[in-house]
Amino acid sequence: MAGFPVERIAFDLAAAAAVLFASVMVVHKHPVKSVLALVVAFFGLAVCFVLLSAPFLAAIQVIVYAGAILVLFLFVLMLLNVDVEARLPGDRRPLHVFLSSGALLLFAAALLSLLRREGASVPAGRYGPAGAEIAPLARLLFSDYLLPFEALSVLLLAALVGAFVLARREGP
Amino acid sequence: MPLIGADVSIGILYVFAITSLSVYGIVLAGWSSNNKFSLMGGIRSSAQIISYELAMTTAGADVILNAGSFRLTEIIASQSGTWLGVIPRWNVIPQFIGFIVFFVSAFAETNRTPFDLPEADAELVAGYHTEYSAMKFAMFFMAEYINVIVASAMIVTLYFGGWTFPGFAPHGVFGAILSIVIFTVKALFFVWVFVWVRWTLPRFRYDQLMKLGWKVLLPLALLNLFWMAGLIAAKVL
Repeated sequence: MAGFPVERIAFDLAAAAAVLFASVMVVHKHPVKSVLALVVAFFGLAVCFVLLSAPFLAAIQVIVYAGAILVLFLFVLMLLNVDVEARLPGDRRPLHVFLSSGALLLFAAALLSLLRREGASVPAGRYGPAGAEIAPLARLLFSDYLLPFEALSVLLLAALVGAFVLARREGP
Repeated sequence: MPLIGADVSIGILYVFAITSLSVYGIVLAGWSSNNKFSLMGGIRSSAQIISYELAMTTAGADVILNAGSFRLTEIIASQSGTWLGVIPRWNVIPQFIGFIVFFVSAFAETNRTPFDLPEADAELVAGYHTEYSAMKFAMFFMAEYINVIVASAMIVTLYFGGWTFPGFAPHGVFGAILSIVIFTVKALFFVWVFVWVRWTLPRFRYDQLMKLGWKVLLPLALLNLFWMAGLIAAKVL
């Protein structure tokens, strides 16, 4: 990659936006705005996937998560018409501070170990325009990973049936 | 060689991905109006678009199966030529069911009559754009018509052979211009059909809309997928 590293800068910007909006999603008190922040975070992730030569993953990311699941979230939130998040009874602030700092420490440790193992940068030559790498992916999914793939689909079906059973009204 | 803006390797998936984001504009417009009619319009729109997206993508999968590629150029290339010298090899002929599913879903995805429940003025004043006027309203309407044009172009690309036409082989500048003309005429025909249907059919009821999407179009799309897979396995196509 000679000259001005446009792709590197775009990747860093997209990754930073994804992290930033993911944290906005966690921190924000308004559920609808949290969902919107998550949409932007997913979109940033999709840009990262494109720049890592995985346009298929990027498209699936946008179609499934940004285009379908989050729209459903938004649908439910709007139906319930929730406003600002309700406070739990009792002052749990010390507990929250304790738990979140613990989670932060854990995250920092995981990040550090990952960086030490993999090196701080993506190996050169991983960026750039993508070829048609969908066929190899499909071949892997339907040969080596056939069993996990099918098991996952059964798991999703079980979740669907479970949701129906839980939501079914008792009585006549 | 016909003129191509960008030949993306995930072509059709890219189009599906970007169009699946279009629902946010309508939903957020309805929600932010802080008005129950607008909110109803936004909620209807999100439910409707998610439901019909399934049928639409499944119908699109048949075309991918036939072409063996996500690239729109290869999808069009797979439709060039003729059967028996007269019938064009357009996808609409072996996959007529898929075309019908895609076509009906396109109406629902673009919020056009008979599926314009999000703005049903008999029930919801004007739905999600009740509170918008002047240029803001115009942007909603222009977006709707852009959606119609994109949907028509996609129908032409996936089912009616794009810029190809039986007995026409594009070469040189003249061929390029002619292929643009062929594509535009085909796409404009479907834009015309969209307008024609709008002035012809009444609006559905909301439960009818949902029943049509889940109980008719989705099973039909799946049936068409099996039919196409069978045809390809039997090496008929």
